[in-house]
Amino acid sequence: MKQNSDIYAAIFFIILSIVMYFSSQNIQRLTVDAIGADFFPQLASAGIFIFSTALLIKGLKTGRELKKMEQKELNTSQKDSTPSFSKEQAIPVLATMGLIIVYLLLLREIGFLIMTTIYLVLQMYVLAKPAQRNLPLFLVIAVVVAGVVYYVFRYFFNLMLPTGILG
Amino acid sequence: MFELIQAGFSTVFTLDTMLLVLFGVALGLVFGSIPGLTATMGIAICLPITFGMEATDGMALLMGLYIGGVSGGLIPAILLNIPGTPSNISTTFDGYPMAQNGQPGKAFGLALVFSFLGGLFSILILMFISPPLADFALRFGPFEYFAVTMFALTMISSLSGDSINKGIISGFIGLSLAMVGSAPIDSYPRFTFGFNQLDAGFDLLPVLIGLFAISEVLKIAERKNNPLNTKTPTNYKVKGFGFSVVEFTKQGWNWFRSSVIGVGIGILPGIGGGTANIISYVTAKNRSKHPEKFGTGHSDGIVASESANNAAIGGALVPLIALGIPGDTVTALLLGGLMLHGLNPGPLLFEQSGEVVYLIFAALIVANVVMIVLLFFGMRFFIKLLSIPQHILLPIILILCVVGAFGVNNRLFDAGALVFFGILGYVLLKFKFPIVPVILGFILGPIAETNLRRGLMQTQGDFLPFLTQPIAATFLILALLSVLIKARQNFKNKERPEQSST
Repeated sequence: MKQNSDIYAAIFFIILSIVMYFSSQNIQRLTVDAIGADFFPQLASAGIFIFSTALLIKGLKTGRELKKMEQKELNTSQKDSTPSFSKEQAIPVLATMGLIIVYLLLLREIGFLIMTTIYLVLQMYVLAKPAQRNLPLFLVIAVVVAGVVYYVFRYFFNLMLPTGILG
Repeated sequence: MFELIQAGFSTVFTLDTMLLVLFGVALGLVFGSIPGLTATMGIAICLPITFGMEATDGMALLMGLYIGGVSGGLIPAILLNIPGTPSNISTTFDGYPMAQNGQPGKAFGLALVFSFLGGLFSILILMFISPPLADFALRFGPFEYFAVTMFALTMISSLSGDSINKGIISGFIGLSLAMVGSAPIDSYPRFTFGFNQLDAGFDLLPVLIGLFAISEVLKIAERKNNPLNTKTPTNYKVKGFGFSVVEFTKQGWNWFRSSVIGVGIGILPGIGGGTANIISYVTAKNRSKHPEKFGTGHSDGIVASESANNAAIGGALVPLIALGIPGDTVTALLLGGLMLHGLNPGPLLFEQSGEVVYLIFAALIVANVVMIVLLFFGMRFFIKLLSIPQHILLPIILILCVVGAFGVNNRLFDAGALVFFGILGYVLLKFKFPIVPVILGFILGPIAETNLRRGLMQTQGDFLPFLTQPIAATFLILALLSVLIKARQNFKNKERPEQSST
C-alpha cells in the first residue's frame, strides 16, 4: 500500500539528512560572516529531517489504521507492500535503465555510431510488444538515426561525439 | 521603445531567421502533438544546436519551439482524448466530445484561433510590462532578491499535489542537489567527494532533461499497453475555421478572462500552461450560465483552455526576462539557453543586450502567426504523426537527450548526470513525490543563498534590513501569506476528508 512506501521513503530521507548534516560539518568557513558555506547545507538537511519525520509519523499512524481494516480484507485480495509495481512492469523499466547505463559506459571506448545502433535496436525491442518486434525494421531505423545524428552534430554543430574504435 | 521593436522585427524578417522560426514552430508542433513528448523535451534537444549560432538566431529557434510545443498538444487532445502536453488537459474535456459529435472542424477552429489570440495577448502584455519591471528591478539589491526568491519558493506549496509535506521534501532535495559544487561567495567545494568533475556542480540542463524527459521515458516503459497504439484518429474535414462571426464575438469575454488567468499564472514562478488551462476551464465553468453543458462539447470550454495555455507563454517569460527567475520548466531551459550564449537574464539584460530582448518579442509574434498558418494548412500531416509507434520514437528521443546533455560541456560526465537525474526523477515519481519542487529548489536555492550571504556581508551580519527595506519586507510578507493561506486550505480539507477531491 501507499503508506508503506511513504515509510520507506521517509526512513531513507532521514538517514540521508543525517549523513548530509555530518558531512557538512567538514565545510570550512573561509569568510568571517554571520553564515558561511555550511549554513545552507545544514538548513537543507534539517529541513529534510523534520519533514521526513513528519511523513514517517503520518505513515505509521495511517498504516496502523489500515492494517486493522486490511486484515479483514486480506483473504479476498492480496496486495503488494511496495508501490504498485508488477513484475511485467519492472522488467522493461529495469532493462531500460540497464541499457542506458551500459550505453554510456561503453560510449567512449566503442564509439557513438556502433553503440547507438546497438542501443537503439535493443531499446526498441524492450519497449515493443511481442507482436510489434520487427528486428530488420529496428536495425534499419537504428543505423539511419545513429548516422544522421552523428553526421549532423559533428559537421553542422561541431560537437565532438566519441568516435571510439572507428576513429 | 518602438524603434527597438522595429529593429527586432527587421532582424526576424531575414531569410535565415525566418527559416529558424519556421523550423522551430514546426518541430515544436511535432513535439507538442505526439503525446509523451513535450515542449520541454523539444527545447532540451535543440539547445545544443543553438550553441554554434548567434544568440539572436538561437533565441528565434527556441521561441518558435516554445509556441509550437504548447500549441501542438491540441491535436491529440481533440482527436484522441489524450492531451499532447500537460497544457492541453482541459482541452480534452470539451474538444473530444465536440469532435465525437461530428464537429471536429469547429473544435480545431476554435482551439486554433483562440490559441493564437491568447498567445498574442500575452506577448503584448510581456512587451509592455517586462521593460518597466526590469527597470524597477534594477534597484533590487541582495535584500530584495532574497525576498523575491523566498516568495517564489513558497509556490512549492501550491505545486505539490496531494501532499505538501512531500512537496517540501522535494524542494529541499532540489536545494541539496544545488549545493553540490563550489559554494557561492567563497567558492568552497561542497559535497564533491573529491570528484573534480563535480567542482562546478550539476549543470542545469542535464538536471532538467533528466528529471523531465528521461523519467518520462522510464514511466512509459512500464506501461507497455499504450492507449496510443490502439486508438485511431477520427476522420474529419474542415472548411474555414468552422464557426461563425457571432459565435466568435460571443467568446470575447471568456477569451479575455482566460487569457488574463493564463498570463497571471504564467508569471508566478514554477507554474505554467499545465496549471493555467485547468484553472481557466474551472473558472469558465463556474462563471457560466450553463455549467451543465461543459464536458459535452461546449465551445466555451475549448476557448477557456486554449486561450489560457498559450497566454501562459508570455506570462512565463515576464519573470525570466525581467528578473532572471524562470516562470515554468520551459523558461528554466530558456534560462540555460541564454546563459550558454553569455547573456545575463534579469534586469541587466535590457541594458546589456537589448537587441536580443526585442528580437525575442518579435520572434514570438512571428512564431504565433506561423503556428496558426502551419496548423491550419498542415493539420493532415500532424494527424499522421500520431500513428508513429512509441517504441520507435522514445529510444530516438533518449539518444537525442544524451547527445544534448553531452553537448553542454562536451563531456560524458553530463550525460551520466542526465541518467542519474532521470532515474532519481522516476524513483521520486514512483514514491509519489512531486518533481517540479525539486527544480524550484535547484534553481532558486542558490539564488537565495547568494543573496542572503551577500546581504549579510553588507550589513555585517545584521538580518534586520531584510525586514525593514520596504520592497523586501513586502515580498517576505507575501511569502508568509501564501504559506498561511495554503495551510488553512489544507486544514479545512482535513476536516472534511470526503470532499477533498482535488
